[in-house]
Amino acid sequence: MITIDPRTKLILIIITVAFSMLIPTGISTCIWILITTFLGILLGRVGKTLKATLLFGILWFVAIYILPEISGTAHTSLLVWLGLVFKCYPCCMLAGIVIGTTKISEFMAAMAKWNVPRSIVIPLAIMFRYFPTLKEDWGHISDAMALRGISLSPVYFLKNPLVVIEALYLPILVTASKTADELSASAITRGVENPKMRTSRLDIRFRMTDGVILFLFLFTFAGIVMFYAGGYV
Amino acid sequence: MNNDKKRLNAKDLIITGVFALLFLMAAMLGGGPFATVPTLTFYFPIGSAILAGPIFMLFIAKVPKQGALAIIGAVECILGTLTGMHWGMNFGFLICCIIAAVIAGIKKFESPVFNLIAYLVYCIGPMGTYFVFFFNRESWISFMLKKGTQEEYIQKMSETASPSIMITMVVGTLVVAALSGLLGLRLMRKQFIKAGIAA
Repeated sequence: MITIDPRTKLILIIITVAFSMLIPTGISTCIWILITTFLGILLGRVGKTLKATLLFGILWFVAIYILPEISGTAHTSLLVWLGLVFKCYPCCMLAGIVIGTTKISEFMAAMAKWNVPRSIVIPLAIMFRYFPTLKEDWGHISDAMALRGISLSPVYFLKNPLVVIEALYLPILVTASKTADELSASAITRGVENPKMRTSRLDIRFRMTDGVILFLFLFTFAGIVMFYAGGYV
Repeated sequence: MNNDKKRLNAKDLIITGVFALLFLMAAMLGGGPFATVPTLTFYFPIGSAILAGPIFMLFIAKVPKQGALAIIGAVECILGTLTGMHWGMNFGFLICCIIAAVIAGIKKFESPVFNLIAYLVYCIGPMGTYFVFFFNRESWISFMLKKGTQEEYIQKMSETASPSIMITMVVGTLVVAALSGLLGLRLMRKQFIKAGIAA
């Protein structure tokens, strides 16, 4: 298991975005997923990474072997859907790995080193931090409402939309805004408003591993680009 | 922005972060099902306008400063770029957020009418990509094809794309946004202010 600089992870995401913008879906997507898996395992996120790779494998299998058997509208919509999934998959998978393995404090410290303005960093950090909490709150609220027989199913919503709005949508907004207040109270207590340069106990800098991983990704990317530009396809 | 009352402090930034996530979830829940189906993709802005009204109203009541909405736009623009969305959508979003902030700011975020208009402007944001599509179809298609979107998706989109669809999209979005915004204003009046969440 290794640790890499959050800035390296950000650069990797940017490379992956460039990859999915420039390179058409094909065997290169598989290669990219493969090195992403490799990275995920090295970063110590083994189970979820392998699951994501397995899911990709199944979808790929469906696209190659089962899709040609289907015809008509189902074929087109499935093809389009799979096309979108394959395009987003590398980015989303890498983003999942990055979010799962980066602590918020590491992220903040790394961004402070890059002199990114705080008005951008704080909202971004809060978004990543708040995401699991939102999921948890949502679980609690929908459990509580299940006791009252209120659910989010479309049929129920069409029958009595006001109840759904008042019992599901409002609580989410209310908890969200309360959580925001609490989070800001805790952050201000820890001195997030300090106008001085942020310092950190964490030792964040580019190391050998960062170089190796960046080289691996860049090398693969360059290879794939050369392959396509060279007209061998 | 030098005035201390108008500057964003850490609390505002944190609230902005939480609400940026809520906006994102609202757009995904409402618009997600539309975006993936080629014949329905033009209705994505309508879908994403359904849920966000109350969030928008609550947000500008909690942080009545112009910079906050612009930051929402910037954050979603960054996230959109990182996940490979079309630039028309990202920058449309950023620009519309800034315009909305200016409009609502004219009346210091207190006038319901101006807030509603601001929300309408905000909802136009995701349409940026489709405007690019209508006005400059060739370049849009080549951009998306280079990005690797399936050719059949584009074909289906081109087949369904006609001026009437465009009008439906704009009018539909505005109508849905108006309804959602009105719901938001009603919730503000009946719930949030009474509960003391939005002071």
